[in-house]
Amino acid sequence: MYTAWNHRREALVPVFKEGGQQAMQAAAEELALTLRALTRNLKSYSAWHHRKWVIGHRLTSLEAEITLVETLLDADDRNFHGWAYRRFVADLMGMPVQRELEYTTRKIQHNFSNYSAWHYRSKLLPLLHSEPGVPAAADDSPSAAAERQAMISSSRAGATGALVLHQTLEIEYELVSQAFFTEPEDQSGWIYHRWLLGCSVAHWQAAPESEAERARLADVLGCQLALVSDLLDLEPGSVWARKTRAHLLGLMQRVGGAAGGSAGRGSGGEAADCVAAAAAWEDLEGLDPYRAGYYRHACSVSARASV
Amino acid sequence: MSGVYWGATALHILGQPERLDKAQLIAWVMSCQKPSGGFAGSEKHDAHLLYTLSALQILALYDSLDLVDASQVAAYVAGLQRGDGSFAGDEWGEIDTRFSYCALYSLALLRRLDAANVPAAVDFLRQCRNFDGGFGAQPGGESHAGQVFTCVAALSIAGALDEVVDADLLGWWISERQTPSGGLNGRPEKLQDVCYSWWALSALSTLGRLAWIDAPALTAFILGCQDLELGGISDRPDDAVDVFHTFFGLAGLSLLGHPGLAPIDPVFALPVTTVTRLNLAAQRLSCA
Ligand SMILES: [Zn+2]
Repeated sequence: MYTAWNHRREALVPVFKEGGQQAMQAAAEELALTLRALTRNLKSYSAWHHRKWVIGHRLTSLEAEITLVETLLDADDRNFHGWAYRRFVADLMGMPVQRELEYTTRKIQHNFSNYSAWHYRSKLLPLLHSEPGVPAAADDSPSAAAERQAMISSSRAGATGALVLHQTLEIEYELVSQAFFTEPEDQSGWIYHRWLLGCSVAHWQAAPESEAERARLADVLGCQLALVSDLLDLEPGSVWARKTRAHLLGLMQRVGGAAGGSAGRGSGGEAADCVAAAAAWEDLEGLDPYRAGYYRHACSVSARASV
Repeated sequence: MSGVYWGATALHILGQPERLDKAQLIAWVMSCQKPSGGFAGSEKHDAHLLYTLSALQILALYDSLDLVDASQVAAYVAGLQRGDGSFAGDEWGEIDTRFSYCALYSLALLRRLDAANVPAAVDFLRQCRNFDGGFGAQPGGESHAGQVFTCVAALSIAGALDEVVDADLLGWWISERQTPSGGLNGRPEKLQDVCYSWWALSALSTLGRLAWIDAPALTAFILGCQDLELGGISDRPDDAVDVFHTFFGLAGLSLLGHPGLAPIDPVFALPVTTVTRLNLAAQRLSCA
């Protein structure tokens, strides 16, 4: 499978090196050929690679590739080869993060179950504010400016753990709640929601001594728990809402425990969170028996943290 | 080449290796080696890392690794590593975490892991880690059970599982691959398929979290994909059988401890007896 494309590349190398009209013509023909191969088999790794190899020579329009792959993803919106190809072309073009983010918003609003698009958002958000030329907000407080600066340096270093701004997280919580209120048993939004919760926790972990961050996190967790409880009132049978509730209770137990008695929460509240989290995981063992082993593990983690 | 590896390993799991002629098999494998040291998928094709690993796995299975010039093959494999730690599949530069697994595993079999820059290889795999704890084919690529298997196993060979993998998060994501059918899918909201019985399950086993899915339900799903007349296993019930799904179905059943099957190693995808004979080392996690 690879060998046939290897022979074509061997023949094309001198033509591309020569450049000019002939090279452009040859590249266009090659794109037509890979398109025919991909129409027969959209999962052909070797055909996708060949197309990337041709495109990398910059002899043809990159914007046309974006249009093509959007058509493909309209027909098959989870095709991971298509998404990978889009990222490849976007990188070559130096596409603004904002434009990519808008594309994922369109795909998600068209179909909340598009996990591939949620995934891509998780890659884009940490980059969002590290782009050159993004103007600082007029009311930029010193702490927000410091936060942005910290993010820029960590994403330049290629860290995957760059903090996502609080205000961005608020927008994401809103978007993902639309997804799980519309399709409560679709995994896509819920897995993304768990990542968002981790992003909120990361702010506190980055500043464990900060009472402001701790209080902010407690507030976010409280809001999300209220939202999930509303959903459970509407859809009492939603297993995913219950999983998220159990996870939220476990996080609240950690945050509450860190507050100690000083923030007006006695140890009684903390113990109650712990019992609630353990009970929520235990319920799931019966409701979702395939994953009982995981729930037992989560329950024992909750119990251990409370000691 | 990979088809031969699947078939030969399946027969070993079934305890019937004598059904293939060893001498003939080994001679054919060696006829696919190219002057570069790499192996091709068949005689007339070009060398590629995918087939180089399959060839070495077959030679390992038949205790014939001494037939290759280890330094030469190791130089071919290590020569495909890029500055960012990734590995290309061949000289044409396709990058994929599958090739990281092929490379590190091949070098481990050849006792030449030191020929590659292992810390850089680990760094590259870390870059392919995602928000859900899984791994993609390249940095930015969506998590997929097949890539999860190759990345977890590659990190296990590199001894860096504990540094890179969030085992609770990834274990949870894999446990959510089990659908109401009992079978496993490869990504959220996709159809179950027997091949994920190997890819998702082996990673769970390496992470010490095999108990996070329902073994009887998965066993029943795999057995339900067996063609009771032809004997093979298909991707889903009532589909046509093939050697690929037959191997992955048997390998999954073996990991689940199904009676009558020889145990398989979740990292090296060879019988445990072969891995023990070769004294291959890999890191495994346990669930605290
Ligand atoms: Zn399959």
